[in-house]
Amino acid sequence: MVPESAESRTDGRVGRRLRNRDAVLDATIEIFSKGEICPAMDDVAEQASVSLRSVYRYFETRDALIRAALERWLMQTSPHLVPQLAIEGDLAERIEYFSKQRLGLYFRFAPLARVALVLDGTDPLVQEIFEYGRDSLRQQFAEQFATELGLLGHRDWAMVTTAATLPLQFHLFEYMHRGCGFDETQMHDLIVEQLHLQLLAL
Amino acid sequence: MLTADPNVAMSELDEVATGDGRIARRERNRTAALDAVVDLFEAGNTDPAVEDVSDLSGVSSRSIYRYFHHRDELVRAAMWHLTARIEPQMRPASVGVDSLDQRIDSFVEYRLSMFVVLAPITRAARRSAQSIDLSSEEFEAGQLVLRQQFLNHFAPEFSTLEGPALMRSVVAAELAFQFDSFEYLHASFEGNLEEMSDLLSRQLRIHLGALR
Repeated sequence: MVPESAESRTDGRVGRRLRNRDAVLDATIEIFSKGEICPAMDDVAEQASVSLRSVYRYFETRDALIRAALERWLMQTSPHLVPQLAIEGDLAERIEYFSKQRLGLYFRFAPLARVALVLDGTDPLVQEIFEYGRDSLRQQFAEQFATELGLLGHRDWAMVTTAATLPLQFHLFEYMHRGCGFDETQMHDLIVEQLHLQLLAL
Repeated sequence: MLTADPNVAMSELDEVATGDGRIARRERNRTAALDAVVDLFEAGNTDPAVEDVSDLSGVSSRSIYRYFHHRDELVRAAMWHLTARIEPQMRPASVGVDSLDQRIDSFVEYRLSMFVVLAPITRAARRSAQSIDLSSEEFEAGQLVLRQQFLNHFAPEFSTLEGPALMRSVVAAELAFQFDSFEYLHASFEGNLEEMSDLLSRQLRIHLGALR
């Protein structure tokens, strides 16, 4: 028999409270992902299956809730932005893999990234994650196409890397998708073609 | 739709942004307010208050708010106003007759000098609007004019394409000339205009060369 300590008795309540708090945040993120920028507290409560009173107990204001949900989302997103390992294969196969991976990332995170930018594009945390995403993209490109880039001097290397990663920036995905009305297939074809042009020109 | 219509002018942007202006005085006041915003930006004030605009233009704050509703709207309108004002002076003189290399050089120089002048006010317009609305009427009109210009400038190279293939090819080749692209290049090359220019020229040579 292990005697129940005072600590483990309170754990149950604390644990439930934290779980509920996370459920509220996940519900908010879920609503964000549908493109809703200012979710109503009622909707959040319903989505999270907790009472409206509980939502207000965890977050005094809607701003506090939105801020906390955004932070949770940024924390959840960052592991996905880590550069993926390079794959073996001929140039066409590697271009295909790389394009699919980057496009998948965009379609998965765009609704939330939009919310983050609209709510506060100047927020250091939001800026940091976009910067991290950019650096990670460049690093992944460099590793995936090391064979083709290998012989370039520093200046040409920077030139090609910048040109090739340009269409894969979040804002340019947005421009193609929402500004030009391109669907996923059209975007995929354009990116693949751009990468071929950049890398074959070497 | 893309067509080879050389009559599309950047001044149309101003009309989209400011409406048709039925009352002359109203139009004069609007223009005075927009000029004042532009002047404030040129003087280095990247966050002008409506009171500053009022002081400089002599148009009352109340009138400014009547014309523009929000300060964000005023800054956005001023961005299009400045675009329409400077664009004719920067536009390349000859179109379609020079060699491809000459046209690439003149186009890159034109868009890059537009960027240098417009970047501060465009950044502010985007910041205040929090996120640029890619489906807004003024954005679409601006895009259409710029894309049309691009197409006109390289009409011989695009002449074999039409319909969706033309649209796709133009979007791909012009991608590096979007404001967001320029911002990315500006950050990547730490503001070095010569390197930006080299990349843009190379980009055009690759894309237009592939068409032939």
